[in-house]
Amino acid sequence: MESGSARTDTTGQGGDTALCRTLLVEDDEPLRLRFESILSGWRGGRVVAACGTLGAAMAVLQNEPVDLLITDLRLPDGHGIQGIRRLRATNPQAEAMVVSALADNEVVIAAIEAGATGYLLKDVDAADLIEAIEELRAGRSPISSSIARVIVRRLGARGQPAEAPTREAAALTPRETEVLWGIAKGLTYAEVAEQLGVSRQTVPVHIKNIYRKLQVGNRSEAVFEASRLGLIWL
Amino acid sequence: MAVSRRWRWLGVILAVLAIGVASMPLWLTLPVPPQALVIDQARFLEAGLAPQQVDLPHAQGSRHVQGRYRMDFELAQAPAQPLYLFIPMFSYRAVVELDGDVVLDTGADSLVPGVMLGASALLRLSGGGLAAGRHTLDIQLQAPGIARGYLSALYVGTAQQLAPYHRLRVLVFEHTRMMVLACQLLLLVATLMVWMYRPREFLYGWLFLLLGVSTASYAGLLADIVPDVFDWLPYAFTISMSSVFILHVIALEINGATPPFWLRACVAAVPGACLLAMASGMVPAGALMIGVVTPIMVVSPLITVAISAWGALVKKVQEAWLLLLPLCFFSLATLHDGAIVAGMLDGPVFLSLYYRQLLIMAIAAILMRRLGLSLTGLDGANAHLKETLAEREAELYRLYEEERGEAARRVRSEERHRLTEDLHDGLSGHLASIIALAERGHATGIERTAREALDDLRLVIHSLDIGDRELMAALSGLRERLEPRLRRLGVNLEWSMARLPEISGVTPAHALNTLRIVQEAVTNALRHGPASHIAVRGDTGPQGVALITVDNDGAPYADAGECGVGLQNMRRRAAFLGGTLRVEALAAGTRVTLTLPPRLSGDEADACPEGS
Repeated sequence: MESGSARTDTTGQGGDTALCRTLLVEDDEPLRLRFESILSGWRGGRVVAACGTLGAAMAVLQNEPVDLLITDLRLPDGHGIQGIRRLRATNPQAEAMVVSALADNEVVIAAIEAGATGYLLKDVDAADLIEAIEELRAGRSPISSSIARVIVRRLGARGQPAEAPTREAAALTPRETEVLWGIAKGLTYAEVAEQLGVSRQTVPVHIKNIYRKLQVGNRSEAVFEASRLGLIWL
Repeated sequence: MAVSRRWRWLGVILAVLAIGVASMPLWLTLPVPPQALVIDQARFLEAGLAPQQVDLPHAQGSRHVQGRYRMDFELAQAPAQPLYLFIPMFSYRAVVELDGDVVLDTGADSLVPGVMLGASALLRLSGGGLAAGRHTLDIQLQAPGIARGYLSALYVGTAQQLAPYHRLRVLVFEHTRMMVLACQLLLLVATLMVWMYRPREFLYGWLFLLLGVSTASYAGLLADIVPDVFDWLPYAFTISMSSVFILHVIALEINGATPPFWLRACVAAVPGACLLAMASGMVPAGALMIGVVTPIMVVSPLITVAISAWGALVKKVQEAWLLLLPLCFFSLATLHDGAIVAGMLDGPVFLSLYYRQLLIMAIAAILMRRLGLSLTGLDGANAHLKETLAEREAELYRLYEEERGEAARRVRSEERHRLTEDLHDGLSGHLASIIALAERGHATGIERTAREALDDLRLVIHSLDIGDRELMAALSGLRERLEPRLRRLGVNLEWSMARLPEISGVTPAHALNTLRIVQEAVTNALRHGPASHIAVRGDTGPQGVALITVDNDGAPYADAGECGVGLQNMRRRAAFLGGTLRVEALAAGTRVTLTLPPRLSGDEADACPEGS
């Protein structure tokens, strides 16, 4: 906690930029309070609202501009993905992060397809939380090897030559694909960067671009609802 | 049997019809021209005897006689149309003279010399036209060797009056007999073919033999090609005599009995002996024919009838009925023929030649019946086989489904078992610790233990997703979780797995145990080290084994073993993986080395190590 606050001070140099308006959605009260207290110490942003239900969050999204949504997925009156989609619809520039206890593959992939570009563990350290947000705001997203593996599998499965290339598969650049493959194999960012001859900081940038391309934008509502809410394994 | 009730009635009707048709030769007399001039008186001249007045039809008194008949007829006026002489029946060679001119010699132009006793002739009387007045007919009649000469009443009339009656007799006396021969040859080929394909069924062989030897009695037909065939006729008849013995054998075979050897020997022995006697000149051929061959041929069918009746009535063999009725007729016919030969009957026609046709038909019916029965049996067997096959398939499918369900249940059960143990291994222990800590109000301890519990749960969940050859990715997941924690503790983590060889046969259980070993090594380094630098490296060892080393710069490992339980767990997990674990002291720090084979075995998958 001590070191976390110290890091917040060093990284939160948001003096010249506008404060990041953050909406927090978490139905578990102790966790919500914990996140709220961590975020209150973040100089780069301010919490617009901390909601316990999807309805309350939707109301906030309706009335107030939000730059960052940090949301749990399972909510008493709905699903966090609905909030993410609303956010992405009203403000395409806004970022969304998913809070998950286990960050298992299905949850993360579903969140990415809904438009999230980052995810947090519920027991995340204060400093790590602020760092993750800052990284995300700087255009970098984290990825675990298992998430990368799932994405690689999906692209492989979808990108059969017989089928018309899907939007995302076609859109991934060779470099992005290489990054994904390296991480999926279990290499560290540093090892991937070394292999590809790029700087270590470039790898998360590629990741964020991959996330953006994986976002499901042009599918119909019904198919989306069915595929997401029906198939999600929580 | 295989024949249904519906067909049984049809069979009865057919049998009655067949009996009616079959008995026709016994009661049927062929019609004679009603309007023609009938000549039924003749003067009969026999060499060495005085002429005598006889009535026609007339049978000569003895065999080997050349008799001459002289008949007169009156024409009131010269006929407007050519006149014909119709001889409904004579036996067996006639030379007809009209007013001293030979107008017909049946020996020269008739088809049926020799065996074909009894023939019919229609001849035109004179070339131009007959004058009115008295005319004389002379018929020189040659009797066959074995029966007496025979001449029926004569008819004189126009072609229209006589021709139909002549044609009818040609049909009956010549064509029908040829048909019998044709049928016999056809069946000869058919039985030969059946026998060739079923050589073990002797019945077909005997049938073939029967049909073969009995064609010998048609040898007379070769007269035009072999002029002296008549000299050989007794031999031919003797050969055909073996057919009566073959008939016994066949009747026995159809009854399902085994013909005795002596009977089978008779088939060749009796005719053979007769032939030898004839050829050596011991006994004159004619005498042998009359004295031996004919009696045997007359009596034998009666024995065959008895055999068939025994089969049909006593042994209840259905096929025997098919043979019995034709045999009755046949033996009746042979009796009839025997009576002719013996001079007891005047008719010149040997009926057995006709009834042979009936026998042949019966044999054909038996063959066809057998064919039908075997085909039906085949169909039945096929249907039965198909049914059995379908049952077996259904049974197999059911077993397969059961087996599959059972296998799926087993897999689920194993997986549940493993998951339970994994959770027990980590999560439940941590939770129990948390409770203990909470009771003592130990906030820091609670936080740490809860984090460990969550980490362990993530380890379990994460390992579920690990597939074959993905051990490096699994380790990478552990790194991702260790990194923030170690950073928070100010411990430097050096991680390098690029040189780790690819390991096959990896299951979630393997992955979880590997991760736990590495995690335990890191935890030990933090707890007992206390380390500020931890290096986790993957490498390839000799013979392609995988080496995972965890180095720390803490206190060197002391064999005293205060971390006994933790180390024991690690060793047990390594053993489960089929690998080894080595802990050694470094100059400054401790090294834990996990050695894994390049291929992990799945045998112990359900022998998941019990948790601490």
